[in-house]
Amino acid sequence: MVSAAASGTGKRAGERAVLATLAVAVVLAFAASLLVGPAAIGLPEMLHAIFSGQADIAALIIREVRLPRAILGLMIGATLGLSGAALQGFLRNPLAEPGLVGVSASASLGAVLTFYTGLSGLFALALPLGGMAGACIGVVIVQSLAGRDSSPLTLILAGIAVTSFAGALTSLTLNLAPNPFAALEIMFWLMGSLADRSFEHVWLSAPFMIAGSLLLATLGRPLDALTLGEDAAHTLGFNLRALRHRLVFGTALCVGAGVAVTGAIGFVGLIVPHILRPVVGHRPSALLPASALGGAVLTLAADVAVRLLSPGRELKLGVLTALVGAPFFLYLVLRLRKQLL
Amino acid sequence: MTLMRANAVSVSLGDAPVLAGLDLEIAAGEVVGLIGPNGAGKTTLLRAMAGLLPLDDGEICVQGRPLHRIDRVSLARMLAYLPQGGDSHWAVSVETLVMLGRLPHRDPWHGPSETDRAAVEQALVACDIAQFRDRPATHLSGGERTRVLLARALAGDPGLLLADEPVAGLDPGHQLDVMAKLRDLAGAGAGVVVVMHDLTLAARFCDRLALLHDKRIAAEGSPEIVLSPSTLARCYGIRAYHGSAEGNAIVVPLERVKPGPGHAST
Amino acid sequence: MRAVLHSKRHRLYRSHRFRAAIAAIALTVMAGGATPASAKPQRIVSMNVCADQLVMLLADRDRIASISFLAADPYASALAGAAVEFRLNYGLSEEILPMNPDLVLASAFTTRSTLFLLRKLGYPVVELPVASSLDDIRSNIRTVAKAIGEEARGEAMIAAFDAELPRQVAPSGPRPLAALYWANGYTSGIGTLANAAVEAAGFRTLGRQLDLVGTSQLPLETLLVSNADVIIIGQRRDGAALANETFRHSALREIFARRPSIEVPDYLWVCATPFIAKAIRQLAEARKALRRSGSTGVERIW
Repeated sequence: MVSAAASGTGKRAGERAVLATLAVAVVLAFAASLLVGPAAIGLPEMLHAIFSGQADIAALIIREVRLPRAILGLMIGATLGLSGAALQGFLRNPLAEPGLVGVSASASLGAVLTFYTGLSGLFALALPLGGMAGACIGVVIVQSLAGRDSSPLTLILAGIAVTSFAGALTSLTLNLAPNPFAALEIMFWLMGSLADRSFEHVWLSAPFMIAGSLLLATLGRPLDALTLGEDAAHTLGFNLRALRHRLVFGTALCVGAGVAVTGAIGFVGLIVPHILRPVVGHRPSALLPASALGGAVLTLAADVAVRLLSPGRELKLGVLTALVGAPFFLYLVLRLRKQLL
Repeated sequence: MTLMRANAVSVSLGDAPVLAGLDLEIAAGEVVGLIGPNGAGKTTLLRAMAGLLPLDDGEICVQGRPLHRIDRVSLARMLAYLPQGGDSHWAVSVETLVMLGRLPHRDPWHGPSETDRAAVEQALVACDIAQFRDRPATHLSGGERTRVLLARALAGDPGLLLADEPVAGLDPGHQLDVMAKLRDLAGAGAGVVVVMHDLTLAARFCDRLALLHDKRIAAEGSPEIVLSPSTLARCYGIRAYHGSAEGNAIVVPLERVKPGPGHAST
Repeated sequence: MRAVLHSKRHRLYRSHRFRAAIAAIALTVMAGGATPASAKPQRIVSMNVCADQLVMLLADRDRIASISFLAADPYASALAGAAVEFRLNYGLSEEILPMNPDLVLASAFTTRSTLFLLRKLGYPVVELPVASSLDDIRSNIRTVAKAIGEEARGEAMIAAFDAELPRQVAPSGPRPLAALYWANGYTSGIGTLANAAVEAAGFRTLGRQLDLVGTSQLPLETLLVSNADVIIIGQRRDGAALANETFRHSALREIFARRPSIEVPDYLWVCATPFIAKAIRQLAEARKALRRSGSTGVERIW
């Protein structure tokens, strides 16, 4: 897509307009997330519930069920979009997604192990804590496998190695599950969902996601410099090894905390940067904030959709994002092929 | 004034020594042509001078300071490196790509300053690419792309430009354009090191040639000296026609010959 | 749809005697109610199919605000017919909060985050552990009865349950070897209610012989070489084609042709409910028939 803006200032104004539009969409999707649910609560009741200190059931549902759910959707969507954009920029590959660095799979494994050992039944936050422990171990292994090299290839290989191994161990855990019900419980969790998360989940994951986002948000310029390859970025004054460390740790903090709380939610981190890249003129640094906002919009919208599509028995969010994401990805591939012809 | 000095530099790629005890100096205002057969280590030397490769031995100094003591950003402000090929991975606009050259100079918290914009504008005009500044950098012909990448390097206002085969794959017209830009840069006081294979073009535009062969500079000096029949036979293994037109040396390779007797010892 | 499924279940196992037994339990239960109504929870929500059935049997109809949707699944619940009259929930906190329950019954398999949220908001939650023995059934009945303030009904139910169980738990004479074989090739090993029930009916089980713990897969070959005297299979479900695929295996069909098999519906023993007594009785009768016929392994019963 060719940017029509004639001057640099015009381009920046265009980017600001994109960000403003996305921000409005985030606010709308957030509001929708507060409004939609099995319990019918209208807009006036919702506003009343948020801003009055009353403790009736409607207020309880808005403040303790839907608000944490919406906040988590916002944070997880934003971090998925942000880390997806950062990884695609670093690897200079539009197929990269946050799961690539092995953190999703190891966080899933950590969480699944708390199911398997029964730890998740002992205290409520064992599950997300297990997920975070898994993510930490995963990122340490990926970093030591990738070594001191700054090349994307070693990072991809290390990520694939850790992802495959963690996936195998997750399958092993499912395999050894004491009964089909336990296996089913694990399977359902792995599908990813925001349903019935509480503020404890928000408090637990928010610090990690914020820290990770801050790390990733500083990567704009080095990612821009990488547009021309590693040597060019290097001679433009950027330390690529430090860049990779910040990227991997930032993604690990974001995605690890997210997966630990909600299970794996795929395709958001892959597709959002994809859609928004032409809109921001392909500049990796401009893509970071846009993808964060876009990821939040998509995740919140998808989470509203699971509640609308099958009221009562909700679809899992991760299932919906994959259902929508995979065909969309196919469409992107076809469009890309047309461009190449 | 000496801009860069390589002193007894040794570099290995993996376990294989590529440069051994190499010396080279670049002065301000000169264009130095780095020539030599394939695999002689021209790109390795250029990358070492850009600070991209660790040295096994020896030292490279930029403006009198050892390379490894200069922080990245200061070094990035002093020198620009133009890698061979150099595709844009994203479909950013040409102007955005050229603006990358300003990164070492830019305020970390703000958008491009007036100075940045002026430098980009100047580079766009100098490289004759202002008319397609909004075109995606992935949709350029070879000649356009080379000029865009050169403009990116020029936008940083470098004191030293290290260009790796900037004219490879260009038609004669664009070759002349690019070499003329390098001359202009040198004319403005910068030092330029340019890797090339076209000996006649090198002789036409370079103040000095350095012929890399057998891990060190085998011959260095004016084109007439470096491109002597014996040196060409010894280093390239060729016999060439030597002539001149309008005061410029012309070298046309004619046939392959066996390497001269000095080959093994040097 | 539901009516169709329901009628299928009636086909074999809803004998009049069985219904009479449940009615007897229910009658005993009614008589036992003594605790003052004010202290008892009046808006009970159950989120688990096993708790659903216990609370339906033990609590007055008007005190139950909601039961889980699985209670109406005729394959999982023995009370599916009655369950459709209740408000069904899918285990989401947003459905449950507006009911403002004064007791939430759940199980170890209920979604962790939902239970955490409910507890955090101050709703009393009682989690039923997974039952692995007949004693666990008694203890689960007591847990639910205590939680809803119907201890006397609970004790009456346990008494009726014990009365329904066959007298002789350790029978004399040979104990035939039973192989439990479910859809997808699963078997119930040590620590499962199904295994406990089959053993209580006087069988030895293949799961115990092979030291299989929990519900685990039984390779078809292991079943073929096992010399099991009788194969106990689960109720075949309509629709779940892949799950039933196992039963179409020619080797298995061969076994069914040579050995007696007993079909037991899942809802009788998937949960810790008194209905398991019915399964045990019928299995014990089948075992006697097996012994009377003299040669184990040729006659088909049931």
